Parts: sequence; structure tokens; C-alpha cells
Amino acid sequence: MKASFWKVGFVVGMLLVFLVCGQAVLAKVTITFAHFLSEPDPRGIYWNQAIEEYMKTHPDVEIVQDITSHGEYQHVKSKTMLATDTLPELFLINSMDMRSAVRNKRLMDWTEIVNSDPGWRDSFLPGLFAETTFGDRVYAIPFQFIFNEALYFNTEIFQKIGLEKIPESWEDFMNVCQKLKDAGYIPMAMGAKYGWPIVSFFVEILCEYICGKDWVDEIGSFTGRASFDDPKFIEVMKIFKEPVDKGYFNLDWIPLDNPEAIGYFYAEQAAILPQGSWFTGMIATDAPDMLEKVSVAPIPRPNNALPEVKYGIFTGGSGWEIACNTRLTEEQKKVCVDLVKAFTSVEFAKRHPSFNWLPFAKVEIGPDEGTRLLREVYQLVLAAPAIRLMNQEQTGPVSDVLYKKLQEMAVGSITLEQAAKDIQAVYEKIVEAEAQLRK
Amino acid sequence: MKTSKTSRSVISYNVTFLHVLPYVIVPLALYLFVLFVPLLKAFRYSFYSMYSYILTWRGLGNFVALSKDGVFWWSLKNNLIVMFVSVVFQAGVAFVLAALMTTKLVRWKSFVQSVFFFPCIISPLVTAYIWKVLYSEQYGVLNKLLGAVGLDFLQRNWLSDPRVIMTSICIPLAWQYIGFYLVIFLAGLTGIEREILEVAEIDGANFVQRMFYIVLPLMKGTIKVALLICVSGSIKIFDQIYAMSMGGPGNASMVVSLYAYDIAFKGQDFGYASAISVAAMIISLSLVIAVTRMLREGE
Repeated sequence: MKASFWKVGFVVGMLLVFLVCGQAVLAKVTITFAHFLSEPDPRGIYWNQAIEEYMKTHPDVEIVQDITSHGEYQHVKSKTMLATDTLPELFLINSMDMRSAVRNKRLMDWTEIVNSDPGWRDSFLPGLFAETTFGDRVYAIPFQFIFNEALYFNTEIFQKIGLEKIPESWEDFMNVCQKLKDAGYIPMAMGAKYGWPIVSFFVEILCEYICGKDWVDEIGSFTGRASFDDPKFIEVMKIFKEPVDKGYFNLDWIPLDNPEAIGYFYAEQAAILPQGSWFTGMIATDAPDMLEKVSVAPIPRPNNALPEVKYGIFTGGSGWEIACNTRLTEEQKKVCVDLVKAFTSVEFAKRHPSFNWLPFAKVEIGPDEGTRLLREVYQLVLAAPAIRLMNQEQTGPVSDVLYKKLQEMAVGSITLEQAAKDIQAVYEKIVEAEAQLRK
Repeated sequence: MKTSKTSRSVISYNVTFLHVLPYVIVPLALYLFVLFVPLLKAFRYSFYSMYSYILTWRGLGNFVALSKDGVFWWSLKNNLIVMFVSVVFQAGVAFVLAALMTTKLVRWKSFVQSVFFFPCIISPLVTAYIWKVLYSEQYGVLNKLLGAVGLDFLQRNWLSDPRVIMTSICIPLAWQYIGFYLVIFLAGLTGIEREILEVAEIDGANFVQRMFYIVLPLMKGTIKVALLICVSGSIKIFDQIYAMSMGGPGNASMVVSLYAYDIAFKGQDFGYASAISVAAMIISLSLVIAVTRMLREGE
């Protein structure tokens, strides 16, 4: 009898403990934040500090960071979360996935929050909300400004062989590459294993030069009024193939991935590196000793470019945004809004030059701020005749076929015309699917 | 008397069964959960197509499309090349090596066995990266070596040329797994009594005759296991190709599992990707059954 009493007492006691602890846990507002910004990315370090500080000042809030590598997050994790509707409270979303996510009602509507804080809203660079706005509703918040294409070059190597800078015309640029090749250097370091560098560093901007804004917009809108078997797009592929055929890329550019290709530039075996604006931050972290000998230029303009498209344009935008799922409680929503505002504050944008990143807000980079390379990149942006919005509208199947067919075309296993035809065949299916969904 | 015996045995059986039950149910439930749930889900999704993360019922449409999908058949052809290489250059070479290790021709047997087994303990991804460096057209050792010994005409763009890419991928595959099959065959060989081989030798049977008339028939079970691992492994091959070429250039080195991955995560059509996976499973099962029957018929 005595033993039973103690047993019952023990069970009741344990239940009480669980109940109290459970209450404490339940009382906490828990937020899971899925992203890919971790050390040594200074923005990830800042975000982490902001989260820690927030949890200190809000002991009732628990923020769990679910950090994955960039590639894994982009190719697998974000796609799986979107497909299975297992998005956490807070997460990063690629601009390419925005339309599908909005269509499936997976994203919280930020319109009222954004409009209720005009100071914050207007602090962003103009046009940065374009990738997150559908109709008149805003579904995510941009947290960076990047452009995709620039040519970083080693000034020391250039000087050694009597070259000054990257010329403005594509034809002169090819001559520069030949001189570099003759001098025993890899003219351009490239790693196209995943396909995207071909499109992001060259094809996208060449489309702007050769096909023009209208064609790019029509392609991105899936209206069926523009096509990939257009002679203008074939011309784009022809221009890209020239440096391939002349051996101006490292010989192993097809099986190499982008970071491996950057290695050739760091090792000073390659004289030029096609890369986006993010490289200013990368080189400052990975190879600070090289910073003094690296300069930057826009992608040269082909002679047969449309007359209205001037030299020095870029395709830019946010590329990635911060978003919330649609199942947030009011408490969770408040925490998410606080955090997103902290991650995208003007104060944080002002710190970007010290990270060697272009700021996402209207913040000037002073003559003493950041590295010389960052200031050069900033000047290119200021001087650009136009910054086109990145063609983020391409869906997965179109991007995939573009990457593969451009690879096949580059190694000569199919003709330019066949590549264009194959890309167009997939594109037409998507145009049809989009038309069905619009109905 | 009989009744009491039965009741005792029933009681004893019941108690044993109840004791064992949790140990059966938990692993069984786990097994069903990790194997059958995803399998059934994949099977279900294979009847849908997904565009823009919207699932649409497609019935057998995915399988009809698959039957006309050139990339799928090309990928399957590459899987069959890998299977051929696995059977001939992994299992085949391993068998010959195992047989040689039973003779006095090979010394330091443990050392030789360790040397061959060493690549097996390396992660396939690491192996792929090692070979990628060797193959590098820019600074790779292989082309340099070929040039140094006057075989310049054999220098290739090993991972960029669609005509040689599958050969480039199969060489490290064979290199890595010979040791694995060697260990399997050596284990099988130890099961054969030495006296049988010695008697055969006394009777005048040479090495080849001993292999064909004694070792091979007695090792049929081991060979069967090795072949089944070869066949099923070849159909599900993924990591080495993912690391070395990502199925490229274009689709030149694409295999079925990588194609399913591409369609799911790049093409964002989890329905069609599931159909590819279901087809791969059926093909793999069919090949395994065919191999089993073939070997059974020979018995």
C-alpha cells in the first residue's frame, strides 16, 4: 500500500513537472529561419548577432536557424520545402521561385507592413521590389543587390603583356584574350558544371545587347511572342561560342564548378574572371592579398548589338528574398517582421561597404569605404546606362534545358540551330502550361 | 495428457510471442515506414505531373511520355554500360584476382588484398574528386603522363568530350570496387575445401580446369550475390557521376537516378521524376530477377 502511494505520487509529480515545463515551452514564440548565410559571410555573422540580441531582449522568443550550404539550399532544400508546403516561419526564397510560390499561396502578404513603414520601404534601391511584387501585392523582402556579370581582371598580368584594361568592344576583347593566351595564361577562368555561369555571366547580358529588352521581357512573360529559335538568340550563342572555340577558357571549364574556376584566378593562372558583383565580398575574404591587383569591367559590347543598347549595362536585382509562410500566428508575425526589418535596415546597409558588398539601400559608398575594387564596382553601377532586372522569370525546366543545350552546343555535340530548337521545344511546353494556368 | 501438453505449449508459446512482439513490431514498423511509405508515395506521385508546384492528375501519361523520352533511354543505356563494366571489370577482374590469390603465384596476400580493398573505404565522392583532378584537361596528371611517354595522341578532354566521358567515369568505378568483390570472392573461396582442389591437382587438373570445373560450380551462390550487387548498384549509381560530370556535358553521362534528380529539383516536376524512379525500380527488379533465374537455370 505504502509502495503504491509513492508510485502514484512519483507519477503525479512527474506529470506536474512536465506540465510546468511544457507550459514554459509552449509560452515561447518559436521561429525557424531557413537560410544559407553562415560564416565567413559577414552578412550571416551580422544576422546571427541580430538574432542573438533579439533573443536576449525577448526571452519569450526562440529563433532556430536552419542553415544549409548555398548550393544545397538553392537546388534541393528550398525546392522541397516549396513543393511539400513545409516552409518554416522565415526563409530565403529565390526570385525564380517567387511566382510559383505566390500562385500556390505559400507566401505571407507583406503589402500592408511595407506600406505602413514608408521610411523603410523607400530606403531600398529603386526597382528592388520588382521581383517580389505581383499585381500590387508584395510577398517578400529583398535583402541584397547584386548584378550578374562583370569581368574581373588581374592588372599585374595585363601590365606584364602590355595590356591596359578590358576593351569596350567584344571584337577587341577577343584580341586581348588571344594575347593573353599567347603569353601562356588562361585568358578567362570559367566553371560551367552546373550550367548557370554560361547563362548568368554571358548569355543573359548578350541577350540584352543582341535581342533587346522587348525580346527578353516577352521570353520572361511566356506570351509566346518571342522564341528561342529566333536568329537573334542563335547570334547570341554564336558570340558566346567564339571564346570557347578559340580556347579562351580553361580547358576543363565544362566539368569544373564555379568555385574551382575561381581558384585559377586566385592562383594567377587565369587573367580574367567572369563573375557577379558578389565577387567583391568573396575576394576580400578568400584572397585579400590579391585585391590590389584586381580591377573590373563590364561585359564588352558586340559590334552587332542593337544601337540603342549602350556599353556598360548590367542585369541586376535581389536574386534572393526573405519571406514568411502563411501560417504565422500574430506573435510569430511580429517577431518575423522585427527580424526582417533588422536584416534590411539602413544601418545594416551602411555596414555593407565594410563587408565589401554593394548595399541594398540608398547608401553612398564614400571614397574611403570598402576596398578599391568595391568602389570600382559601385562606380560601374552608377555609370551604367541601364540596369535591367535579372530574367528571374525563367522556370526550372527552361533554365535546365538552357544550361544543358548551351553546354552541348559549346562542346560541339549539337549545332547552334539544334540547340535553339531543343530549347524552344521545352519553352513552348511551358508557354502552354502558363496559358493553362492563366485561364 | 495430450490436452495438458498442448495447453502448456500454448501458454509457453503465448508468453514467448508476447515477449518477442515489441522486438518484431518496432523494426517492422520502421522498415515499413522507411521503405514502403516513400515507395508508395513515389508510386502515387508517378501518376501526377507537377508544374509550378501544382500537382495535376496525369494517369499513365508520365509513363507514356517516358517511353518516348530520348534522355531517359540514353540514361538507361549509360546505366547498362556501367553494369557491363561492373560485371566484367569489377566482379570479373576480382574473381580472377581471388583465384590467383589461392595459388602460389601471389605473395604477401594480405598486403595485396589490402591494396585492392583500400579504394573501397574512400567515399565515392572523394574518389570522384580525386579522379577529376587526375583527368583535368588543364593541369591533370593523366594528360601530362601520356605526353611524357610519347602517347600524345591519347590525350583527351576526358570530362568534356561526350565521346569519352563514359569511359572516363567507368575507370574509377572499376578501380574503386574491385577490392569489394575480391573480398566477397575470397570469402567464397575459403568455403571450398582445400582437399578437393588438391585431389584435382593430383589428378592432373590445371589451374584453368580447376577454376571451371570445381571453383566456379562451388561458388555459384557467391557469384550470384556478387552479380546481384553489381546489377542493382549499377542502376542506382548517382554520387560518382554527380561529382564528376553532373551528367554532362549536356546529357552525355546522364544516368537514370541523376535524371530523376534533375527533373525533380531542376525541372521541378516531382511527378515525372517519380515516374522515372518507379521505372528504374522496375528495370532494376527485372534485371535482378533475370540474373537470379539465369543462374538458377544453370544449376
